[in-house]
Amino acid sequence: MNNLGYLVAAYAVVWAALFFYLWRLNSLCRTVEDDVARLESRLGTESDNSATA
Amino acid sequence: MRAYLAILGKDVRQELRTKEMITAMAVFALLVMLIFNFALGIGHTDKNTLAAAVLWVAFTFAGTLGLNRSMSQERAGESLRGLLLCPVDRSVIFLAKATANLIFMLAVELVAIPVAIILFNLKLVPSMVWLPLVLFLGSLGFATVGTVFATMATGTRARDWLLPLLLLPIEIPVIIGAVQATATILTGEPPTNAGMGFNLLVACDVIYLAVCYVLFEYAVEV
Amino acid sequence: MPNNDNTGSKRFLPAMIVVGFFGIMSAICMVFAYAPQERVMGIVQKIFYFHVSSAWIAFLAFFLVLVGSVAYLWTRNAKWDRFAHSSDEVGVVFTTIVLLTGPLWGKPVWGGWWAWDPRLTTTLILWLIAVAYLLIRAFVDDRDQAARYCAVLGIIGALDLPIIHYSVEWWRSIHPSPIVLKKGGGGLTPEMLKTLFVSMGAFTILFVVLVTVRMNLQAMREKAHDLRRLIGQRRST
Repeated sequence: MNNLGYLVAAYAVVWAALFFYLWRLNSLCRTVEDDVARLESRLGTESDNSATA
Repeated sequence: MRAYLAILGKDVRQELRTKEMITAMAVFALLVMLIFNFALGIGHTDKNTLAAAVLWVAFTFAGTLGLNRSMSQERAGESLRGLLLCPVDRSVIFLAKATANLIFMLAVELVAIPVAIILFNLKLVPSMVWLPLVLFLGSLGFATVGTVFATMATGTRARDWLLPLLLLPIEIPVIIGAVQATATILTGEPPTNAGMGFNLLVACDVIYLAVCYVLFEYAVEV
Repeated sequence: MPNNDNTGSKRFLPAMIVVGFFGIMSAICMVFAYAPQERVMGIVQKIFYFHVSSAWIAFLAFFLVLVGSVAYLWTRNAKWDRFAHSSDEVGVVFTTIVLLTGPLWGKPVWGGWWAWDPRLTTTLILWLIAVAYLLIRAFVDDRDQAARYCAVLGIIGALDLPIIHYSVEWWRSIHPSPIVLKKGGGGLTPEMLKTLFVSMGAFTILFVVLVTVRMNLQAMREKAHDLRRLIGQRRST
């Protein structure tokens, strides 16, 4: 069971990197989704305003 | 004292916002270490290889500098746009620019060689008549890819650091081949005795020239 | 997770995630319960399965960058650009994993963190090229210009990789390593081979998931950007 530290470190690197990346992608997706929804509704209301103006 | 801290804080915070400069600097530092490693070869004390390595590292960085300058001047003076408006085949523009860059590199190298001979006390061997050929082959490998990448890099926000970052990884085979060929010349033998190194150099030149000839027009589209 | 517009893709991603999850669980089980312990290297050798799997993905990713780049320059369809971009970014993640696990495996086995062996060195250069690709994206504001430049780099870089590998191999033969690479034991037993394939398969599925998510993110970002521009135009009229 020598060098166990290296093994643990390597596995930590692999899974930490993958999880962190996946998590970051996910949160970015949510932010952008909200952005798009917000922008779309704003576009909708603004064209309504200009239609009535 | 307060002014010092305030200004320092502002600079650090500004950089932390984008981290662009730090990233580019870090990658560049890594590249320099890489280039030196390939040029020098760890544990190698042979004087000829050392001299060849120093020469080609110098040519690499000088060449990159020159490529950068020539393309940014072109862009600054809007002459690139003017050139693109002419009914000239983009590939012809590429060949002309690459040849110009090649000539500039060769001019610098021909001046640097005598200086290196003096500084490193190199023996004047008859095989040195092969030097111009190896200089040409090595510089050609730079000029082709360098012209394409310089055209791209100077069109971006980070025109100073982006070119080495793009160019140096691609140039590693050229540097490896050129250093070996040059070292072989300095030991008194023709560069073809460098074995695969010389062939590598020639093969790179051919492949790079062909690929860049095709791809240049995509780099220069308006 | 974002949804796509057609229902086929709606089912694709969650399905892949489930398969991928089971794949990875199986791989881990096999690595620790099924594959025998290597005689010479000991338990540290278990790093090998995910190190090699990551390397496989790293090079696959960059090959796909080549495919996407050529397809983009050929068709000018933004979907190919998103594909190349996503493939590159996910590729950087896996390449980083290879470069970090390599030394962690090498130190106890070879005695040194780095030995300039051709494969790892080529991976390092691949990392540099793939990062340069992302830097172009960061430093170029115009979307089409960035796509074009990245495509050029993707093609030149990918085509150059075999040349780079060969040149490093040849260079290595002239400058032998001062660190004696102790031959890491014998070959692989059939159990090890099976474990390796399962790991590589699981990582491939993981790769597909990550690229798909990244592509969706990119599409959404571009949509948000276009919407903002549209609103700005409406305002000014």
